[in-house]
Amino acid sequence: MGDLPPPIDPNRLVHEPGRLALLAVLNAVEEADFLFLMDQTGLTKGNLSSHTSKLEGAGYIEIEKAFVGKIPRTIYRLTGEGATALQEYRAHMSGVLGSIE
Amino acid sequence: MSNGFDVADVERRARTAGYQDGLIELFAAFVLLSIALMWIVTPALIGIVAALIVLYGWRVVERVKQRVTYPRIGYFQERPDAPDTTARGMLTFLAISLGLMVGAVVVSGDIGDASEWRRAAPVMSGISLAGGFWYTADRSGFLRHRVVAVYSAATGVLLWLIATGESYEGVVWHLLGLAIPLGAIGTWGLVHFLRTHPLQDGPTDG
Repeated sequence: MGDLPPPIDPNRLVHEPGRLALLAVLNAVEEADFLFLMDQTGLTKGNLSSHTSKLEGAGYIEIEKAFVGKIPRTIYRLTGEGATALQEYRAHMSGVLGSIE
Repeated sequence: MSNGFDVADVERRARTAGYQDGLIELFAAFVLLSIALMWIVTPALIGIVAALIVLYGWRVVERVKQRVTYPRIGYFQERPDAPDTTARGMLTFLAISLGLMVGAVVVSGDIGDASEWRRAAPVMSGISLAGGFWYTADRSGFLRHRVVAVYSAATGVLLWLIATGESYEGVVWHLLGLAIPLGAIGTWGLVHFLRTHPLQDGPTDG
């Protein structure tokens, strides 16, 4: 039997549940801060920081440090690349799930 | 967090997060109450006062959100609709409500009678405000916004049937009849939000 392609080969960066949730939240809003992302995803501070760094490294989100008065506020936004990656991931997974029904 | 989750549900919850504090209902109640009172006191200034309240009132709401909402659930900005979609929706609903008001006057019989136009005015306010709340329900996903939309349309038609047309009392009653339940819903929403979302301890920034 020849080599068969793997049935599931998703974008690993998006496939991780924490990062997928982060991308989904940022896909739904224009921009959000750290607390909002924590509240919506249920991730801990450490996990959230780690995931956002990876997503920023891949160019999927952009991070902006700002101040509201004297209080620092880090703002997160989904980039066009991130939106495309999420869209492609969804299409890929829908195709995979459709193929096994 | 759980491994099993629905991406669409995560997106929906994020989109609706801004509607759970009850402030939009309180703001709407304040606007409608102000317009109703202005209609009683100085009807000539209603347009200007309404525009000022909507323009500057929203800034007050944003300030309240900064003090009440964002420290509890975090800051975020909703993704806006495309401007042409919003404009098309508003114009469509205005045209529908205007058309229904004209229809109500025609049904009444005499389109040259000014009192028939005053009597039918709640139809226009009822349907146009119903459009606003239906749109809000589409964004928030809250049944209560859908119920307010239906209530607005129904009370608008009902007031057309029972108003005398001697003055704009039908519109004033319609606005008051919406402002009071909206104020109650908003107050309940805010109290519930404050109870279920305590202030976060310690630093909350990345």
